[in-house]
Amino acid sequence: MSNLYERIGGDAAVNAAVNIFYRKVLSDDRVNAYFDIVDMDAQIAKQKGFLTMVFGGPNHYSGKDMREGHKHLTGLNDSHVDAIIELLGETLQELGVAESDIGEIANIANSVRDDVLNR
Amino acid sequence: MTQINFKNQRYTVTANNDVLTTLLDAGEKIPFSCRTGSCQNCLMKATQGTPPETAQVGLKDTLKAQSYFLACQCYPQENLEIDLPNTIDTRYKSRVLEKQWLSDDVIQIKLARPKNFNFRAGQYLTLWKDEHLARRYSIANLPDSNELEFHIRVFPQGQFSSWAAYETLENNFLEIQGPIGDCFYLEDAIDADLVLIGTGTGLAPLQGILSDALKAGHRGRIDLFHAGLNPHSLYNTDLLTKYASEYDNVFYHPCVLDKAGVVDSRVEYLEGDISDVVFEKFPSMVGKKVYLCGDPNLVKKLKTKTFLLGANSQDIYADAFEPSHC
Repeated sequence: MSNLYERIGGDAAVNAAVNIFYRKVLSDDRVNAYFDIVDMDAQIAKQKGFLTMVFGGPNHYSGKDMREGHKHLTGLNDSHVDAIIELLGETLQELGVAESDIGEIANIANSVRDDVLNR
Repeated sequence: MTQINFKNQRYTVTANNDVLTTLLDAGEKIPFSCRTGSCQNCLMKATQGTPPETAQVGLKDTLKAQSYFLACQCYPQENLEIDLPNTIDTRYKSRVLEKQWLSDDVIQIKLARPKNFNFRAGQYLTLWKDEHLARRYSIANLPDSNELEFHIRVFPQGQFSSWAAYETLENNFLEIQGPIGDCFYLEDAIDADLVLIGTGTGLAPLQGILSDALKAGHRGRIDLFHAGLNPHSLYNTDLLTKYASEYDNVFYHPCVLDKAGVVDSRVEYLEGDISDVVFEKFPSMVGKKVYLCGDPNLVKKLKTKTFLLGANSQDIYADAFEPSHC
């Protein structure tokens, strides 16, 4: 069996998911205050990096990067991480990704929770 | 093994090495972050030679069309001359041909297009008054002309704009530097519905983009919204009305916050905030290509709204006119 990233479609899957996912994030009052929309293209690029990571693709994001990238955000807590994982799951369902793969992706996202929350 | 030329320095890219690593190892300062082709921080531009397609994955089509690439993903197949984005050092001298007022506070100036100065309709350049004062303006016409047309909003305290408006410019030479910008029309959009939204002199690039689309024989629908405070702040209404009557697929929507009592049987003004008016007409932006030019706050607001209403981020082209600070 091929690895997760290849199975769900690699870079093409990232490109398909990023618009849907980021649209959900910006529309969700639980989390949208944390997303700077001054430069949407830069944000989309960041989200693509995040999606590549959680899809198990080639990336150089480390736990340290996730910690550095989020520690200036005050008030960030578990509920926000939960919301992001939920929106990620909805995105993948819309794209017809298998439930077992969605579970695996959620696990990868969950694995950086402590880094994101700086604890 | 291929060679790259960067800022007049020649570097050899050894096998299995990418351009970013090669430049960083040589001590060049290149912005970068993820090194996996997603953050796009290491965006560069080939000025000679063709970058490999694999170094352009995920880039906006208008960047690909200008030979932009990601240095971290670039394993060159041929020798390349490269530079950082938006650095064009060449300046051209250009003679001022004519000047006229388009509205109470907008002038149009036309310069002679220097030979070898090529651009895409919708791009902008830097106009130099002298060594100390320069401003960026969008080109409003097509590249096949011998002229360059600019729309300049005149601010009473504006160093550049009040000079341009009130001094005799005709037959003077100005220096121009550019072009820059990735807000322009590409022929693969020929069947797409286009929505062009501009505030103030944001009309200039849109006028170029509209002309370019029509020249390409655009088959989709084109809606152009031009927003201003009141009917006196809009300009080129006759020209745009004419386009709309000549082409079945072109629709012109002049939009004002306040009609200010102006009654003009030839022009039907929409009244209200542009960021409401557009989306009352188009509650869904799915599948549309959208071009946004002018006031930076409005461009930002329209960009987000357009995206949330279904347009893909890759299909939103924006040119925010950031104010000058000198």
